[in-house]
Amino acid sequence: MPNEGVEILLVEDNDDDVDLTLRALASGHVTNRVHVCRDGAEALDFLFGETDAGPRALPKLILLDLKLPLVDGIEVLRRIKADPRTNMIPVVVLTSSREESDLVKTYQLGTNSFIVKPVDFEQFTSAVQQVGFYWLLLNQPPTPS
Amino acid sequence: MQHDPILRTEFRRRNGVPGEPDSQTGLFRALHEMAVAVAGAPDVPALARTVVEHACGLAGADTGALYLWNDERVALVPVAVWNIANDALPQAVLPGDGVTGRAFAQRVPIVVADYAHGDDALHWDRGEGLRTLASIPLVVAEQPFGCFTIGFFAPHACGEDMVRQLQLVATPGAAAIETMRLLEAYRRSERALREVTATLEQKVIDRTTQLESAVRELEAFSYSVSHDLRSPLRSISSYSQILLRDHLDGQSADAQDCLRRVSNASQRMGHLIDDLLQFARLGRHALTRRTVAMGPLAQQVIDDLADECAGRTIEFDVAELPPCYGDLGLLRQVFANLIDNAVKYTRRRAVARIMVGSHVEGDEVIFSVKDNGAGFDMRYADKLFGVFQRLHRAAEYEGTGVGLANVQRIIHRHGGRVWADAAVDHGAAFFFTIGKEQPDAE
Repeated sequence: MPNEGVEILLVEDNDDDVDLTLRALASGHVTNRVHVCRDGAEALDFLFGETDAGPRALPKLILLDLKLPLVDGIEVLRRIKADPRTNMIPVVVLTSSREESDLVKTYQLGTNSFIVKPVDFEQFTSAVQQVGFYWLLLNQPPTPS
Repeated sequence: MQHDPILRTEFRRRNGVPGEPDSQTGLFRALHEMAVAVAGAPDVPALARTVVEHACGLAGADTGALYLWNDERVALVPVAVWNIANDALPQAVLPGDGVTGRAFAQRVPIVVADYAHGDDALHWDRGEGLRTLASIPLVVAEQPFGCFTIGFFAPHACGEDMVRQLQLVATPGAAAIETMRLLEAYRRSERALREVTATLEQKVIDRTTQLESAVRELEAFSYSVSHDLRSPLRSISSYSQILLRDHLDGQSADAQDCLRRVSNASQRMGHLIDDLLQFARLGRHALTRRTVAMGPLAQQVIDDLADECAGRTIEFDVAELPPCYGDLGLLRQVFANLIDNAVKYTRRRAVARIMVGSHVEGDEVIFSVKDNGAGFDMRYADKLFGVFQRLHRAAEYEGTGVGLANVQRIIHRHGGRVWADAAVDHGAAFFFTIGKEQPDAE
């Protein structure tokens, strides 16, 4: 299966932010098993699309940008939280702006966190590492049935 | 003028003249019938027709017309005719012209008993073939506002009794017509008022729509500023830091310095964008007023600044402050900005003193935040509250120049005032009031 062992699904269209997030995760030794989707449609396909080998193994954590091409992050979040196969995966919204309406909307849809990406690199790195550490190592998810 | 057929006030009683009712019963019946008809008349022309019909019936006249003083107040115009074509009458009778005009001008009944012996001056409003005309003025509250004129094809004496009976018709007729005119004028103005109100409401709706769309544009603008500018900025900041950290070790000091400047500039720009966004958000933050305990609020803000105060000697003095009625979150920002400034600009004092107080002037409570810091030159005080305006160099005291603009915006949204007093090196004092709006009943 193509995504066997994927721990984090990163949905992000900005090349630099993808690169910086991967650097932060690598330097924090959180995980190297990250799959990147560049738009909302690709993310939905990754999560819900069938493969030859049947349903995919799902990631343990989803890092989701909101402003995405094709299908926006809010819609991706709605689909994830509406589907019993994916609704227990923690979703962390990682976005560029603290837009009040986005905050309310995403929490209503059941996001697990809302993080505004700091402009400063050190702060950004630290934020990504903390998110990875908390959700992958510290937090205890229910065992999938 | 012994042959003058005009009778004004001196009428000689003539008996047995045809058409003149000789019994009081006939008069009362006519008046009663007119009163019933008048009560059912829907508008001024219908009312006028009723009056003229009954006057003609009572007098046994062949034709009649009722004239009213027009809105422009220059001429009498016929509004109702009986048994005569409207176009057979003059359409505008000036006061003094003919029987009608003269009755109006002189406010007395005018009779031409027989045109065969008549005065040419009074021929003016005479209908074709008429031998006798009598005109009775319509007067209410001593103001003439019209006349009705009746005509006979055969000579008719139109004696004193008949004139008096016609006046009995004229008095209630006049009152009814004038009342109806006032009512119609009232309805017209009411309609006009409704139209004006509707227009005004539409204008308010239009303006509100325009405002809302302006606010939406502004929101979209804030969003794109925050999202679209922050991303590239993060790249600039991050990659310059990665270069500095991982790849420029041992490179020239100049190269490192250049890159450090790039990194610092991008961080400053990040703060600018954040502050600007906060400033933009203040505009659309709905004000939620409640009673705010100002003293504890100021103390809380001071406690939150503990990190920034670490290692310094700062004497805070928070006086007992009266509560005020305002938005808690926004007032916290006011104190946060003012006290944070005070902490910042007293940095070079061995002992910094920061006082939060209040006093009453007239019916206003004036809150104040004072410090013994760097102060500023009052000549530039007008720039103090402008966005991005700074009175100190960034190298001396960091800042984006948005904090006091935010303070002013919050205070203005509360309906209050904010001002400052300062001298270079002798500290600064900021004063503000919160609008007078009070809680409903507490």
